[in-house]
Amino acid sequence: MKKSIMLLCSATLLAIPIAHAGETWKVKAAAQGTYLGYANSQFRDSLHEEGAVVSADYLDEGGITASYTHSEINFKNNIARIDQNAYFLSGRKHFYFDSVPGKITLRADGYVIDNNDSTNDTDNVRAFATQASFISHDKQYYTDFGYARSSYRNNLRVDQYTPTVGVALFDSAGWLQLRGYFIETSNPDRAQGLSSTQAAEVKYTHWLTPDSYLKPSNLQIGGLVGRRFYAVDLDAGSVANLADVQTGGITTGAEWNVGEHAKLLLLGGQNFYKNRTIGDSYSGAFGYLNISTAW
Amino acid sequence: MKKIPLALLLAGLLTTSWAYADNEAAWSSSYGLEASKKYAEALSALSGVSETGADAQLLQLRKGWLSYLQGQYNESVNFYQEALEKNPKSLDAALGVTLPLLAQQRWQEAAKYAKQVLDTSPNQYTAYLRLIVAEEGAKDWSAMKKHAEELTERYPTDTSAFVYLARAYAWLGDKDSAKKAYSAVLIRLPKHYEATAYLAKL
Repeated sequence: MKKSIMLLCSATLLAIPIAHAGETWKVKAAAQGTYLGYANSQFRDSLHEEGAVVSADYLDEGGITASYTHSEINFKNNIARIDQNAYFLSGRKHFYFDSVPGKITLRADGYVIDNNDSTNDTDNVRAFATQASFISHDKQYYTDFGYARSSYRNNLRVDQYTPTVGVALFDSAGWLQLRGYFIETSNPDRAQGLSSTQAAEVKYTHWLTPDSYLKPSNLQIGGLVGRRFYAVDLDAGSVANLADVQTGGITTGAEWNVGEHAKLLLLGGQNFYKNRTIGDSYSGAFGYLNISTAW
Repeated sequence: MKKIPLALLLAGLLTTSWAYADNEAAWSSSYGLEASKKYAEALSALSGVSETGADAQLLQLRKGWLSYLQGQYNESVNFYQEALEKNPKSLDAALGVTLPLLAQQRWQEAAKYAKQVLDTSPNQYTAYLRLIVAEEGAKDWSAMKKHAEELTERYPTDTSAFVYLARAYAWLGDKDSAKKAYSAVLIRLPKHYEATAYLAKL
């Protein structure tokens, strides 16, 4: 936790001179934390994560994002805790073509994850992801296609394909996004017997006109159906290397403007998991807090 | 012997006047075609005009404008930027390039050029307005509020300035100030649709 706060402070201090160097760079920094309490699991007790994200965009040309996340999973039955450090670096470049009525963005991400998992199954994970996206000039339609490859120790490689569509609703006050997760594993023996998983994720965001400091600027709800294992979440910039097979989930939340330059995002929900190797089906209720500021 | 230089001089004058007449016809044709909304033809009409002549800068700006009208935003940006490279003091070029950038929703770049104009000409109305439009697009409500406030101070009769100010206040959650600004809009333009609708909701 201390490490995370120190990193955020350093990132913030580093960001200020960049932002003030000129108005060509827009810099955003965020601190985030998650707490997840497992229910009905034979072995898992809780998970908490703390992290920091810094993002810088050069005009409308492109940008970079870097993040650090520290995670701790606590187990039952005196099983040793897993401590993990995850590093994420992402770059994006926007393209504008007269023949295309919108903006095309190409993005490339890299993930480096290290932990103290004594089996080494989830340690030393390296992942690379790329995504091509399109959003119409009037922000009514969005589509992207993402690909991610994750490499694990002990002979496991995971390929993931994520087609996505998004559409504005209610005179642009709402945004609906659907994403498919098609994940293939190279070694089912290392993936709880699964050679592939498929899942569909839906998210809806509704913007409100703020008329008091307590009223949120937007409300969010989302859900996941199907099965998802070793997923790479391109929106969150994270790899689910520590999770069992996710069999569903529901998320809801709200975001508030704090002053003129900061935002507070609060999400909560419940995910459902299954460890197929030991037949352990359980759920996890979580809370997520993100505080961000932009220059 | 004296007749030779005189003949050369006459020939030169004739050539220049013919070229001038050709250019004038090209420009005239281009303006006429634009008025008829034939933007591609209006651009083609200028194909004979020299790109290195006295009107080179005007030609570049006009190509930028006609490309913008055709929805060829990338080309338009390129023409305006070339014009700006040739004459960095050109407010026409800096203002011009904001149009295709705003059309492509490249808010930060549009804001950069609008600010560039305001640095040279601090009270330039069009630059202020396009800066505010860019800030609204980028959802930078505090910057939008700041510049809309400045615009209402400099142009207190202008309805648009108060509309943008009211929107900025509304997005920042400052309902009282938004109400005042929309009321100011209705004094300047009675029955303004957006102001009437906002005040009716309160």
